[in-house]
Amino acid sequence: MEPIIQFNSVTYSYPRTDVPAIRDISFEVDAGEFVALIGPTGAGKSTLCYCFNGSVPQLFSGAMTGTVEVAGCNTYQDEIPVLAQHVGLVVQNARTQLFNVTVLQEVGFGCENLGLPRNVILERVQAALAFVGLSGHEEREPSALSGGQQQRVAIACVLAMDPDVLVLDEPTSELDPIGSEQVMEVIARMNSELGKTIFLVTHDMEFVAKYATRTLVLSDHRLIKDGPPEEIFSNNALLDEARIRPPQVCEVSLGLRKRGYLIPHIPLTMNEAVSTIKGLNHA
Amino acid sequence: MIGISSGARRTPLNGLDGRTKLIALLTIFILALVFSSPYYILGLLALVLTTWAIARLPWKLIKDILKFFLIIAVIILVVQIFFYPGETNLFRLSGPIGFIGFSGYITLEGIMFGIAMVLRLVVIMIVAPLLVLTTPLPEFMLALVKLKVPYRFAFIMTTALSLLPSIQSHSAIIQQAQLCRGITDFETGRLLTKLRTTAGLLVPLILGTFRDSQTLDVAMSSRAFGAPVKRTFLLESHFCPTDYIILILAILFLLGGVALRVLGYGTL
Repeated sequence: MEPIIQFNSVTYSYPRTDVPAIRDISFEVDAGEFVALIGPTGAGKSTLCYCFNGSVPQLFSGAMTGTVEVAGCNTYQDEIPVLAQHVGLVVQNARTQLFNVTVLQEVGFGCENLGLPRNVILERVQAALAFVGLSGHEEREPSALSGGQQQRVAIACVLAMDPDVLVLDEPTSELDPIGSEQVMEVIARMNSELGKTIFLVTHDMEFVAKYATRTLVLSDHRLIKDGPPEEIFSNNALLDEARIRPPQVCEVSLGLRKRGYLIPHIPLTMNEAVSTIKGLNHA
Repeated sequence: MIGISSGARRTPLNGLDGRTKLIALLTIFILALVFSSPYYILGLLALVLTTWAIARLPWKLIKDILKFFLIIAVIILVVQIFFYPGETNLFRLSGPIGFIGFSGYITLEGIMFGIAMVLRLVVIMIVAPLLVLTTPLPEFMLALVKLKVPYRFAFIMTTALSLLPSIQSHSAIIQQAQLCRGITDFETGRLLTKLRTTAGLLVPLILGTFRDSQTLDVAMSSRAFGAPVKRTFLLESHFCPTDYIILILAILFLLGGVALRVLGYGTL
């Protein structure tokens, strides 16, 4: 099966700068995967997200080499509105990406632009709002919603367009723990229930450990590791290099391993950690 | 986010189609420019104020608007009184001052024309809120599109309006941050100090607005803005009988006004 996302040696520099924001990035993602991108601030994660729907280089201009293909579209040749039907992008700040007067118009905006029939748009909007748990909020002003609700509206906006791939750039960075949990739960369900391919940028390692099937590590504008979360979170040298703090359950196990305990697999969840530590006690 | 639109405000004008209100507004605008007699413009003002009362908009808003334009109105009045080339001299103020075009006399026509100009300004200034405050932005945009204004232009215009409250709140945050660092000369202080603090406010505000607009650009593009297909509009608008009545009245007023002007009425 052809991968749904293909990055081939992508290097990109913003206008009026010689230093590339991302260098020689290559990876492939299969349909239905849940990929998390982690790395320190300033590593180029947001720039990488903008490559998916052609915002880089079409909106930001600058110099780009290499190719990006998403769902059979070339992000250099195909226009952003065409790409928008295949890849939905949710950016970090929910407030600045909502610009309509009501939630209904906000969520329906993309479908209106695609020229879908009115009844189809209304169905899609209702379904998307129900999926993100915001049914009944149709007539509310997006600006009057809480941060978590705004971010879920932003997700509903792209979900209503029914793209194959959803790219989410730190969607919980400005949210409180409850708001973050609700947003993350919606993202996980988009993958498990709707089969969407998810590409998530986050600093929430607990969530990466819990839901991601694969993790990419970006550091100093380069992709330095690609593997399952367990492999990433058990690699001390890598974590130090990319200045990543693993989930607390992993930290405990890594600490125990450092003190000479034999831990063959670093646990990713609380239950796994409890079993691992219980096993140590028995030994 | 909406701020400019009527939001929760329900007035008898809300039920009207955006196109009707836009055409009625343009009619008032044109008639205010066509007439130069203060009596005719006073008639227009009475019409606008009656509509204002029907719309149940706050009278305080008119007071605020007039306060804002008071200095401009005084300048217009003074300039016309002194420099309008009238024939009915009321009294002599000085000898002719040729190089500034002042005849030395205050004329009746000058005073009348000055009053007419000020009334024209008042009509134009208070008729716009009648549309803006009783028409939610999406309806306003739809009205523009249905009147064959290109969608992209209508969208940019209404989105710019919708972003004003956001810019206002951003400005308040910057002011608050600067107050915390001891800058208190936003309202008081000498002119130079005020200018300096205003520049200190404007620079981060403009930069922040540019940054936000770039995010907005990405968000809009990600939702297929500008797709090469015929756009659907979720919002629907239909003319009701009142719309037809108002449209007919607006056309009659416009034609009647232009006819009166051609026949020599409505001037000084």
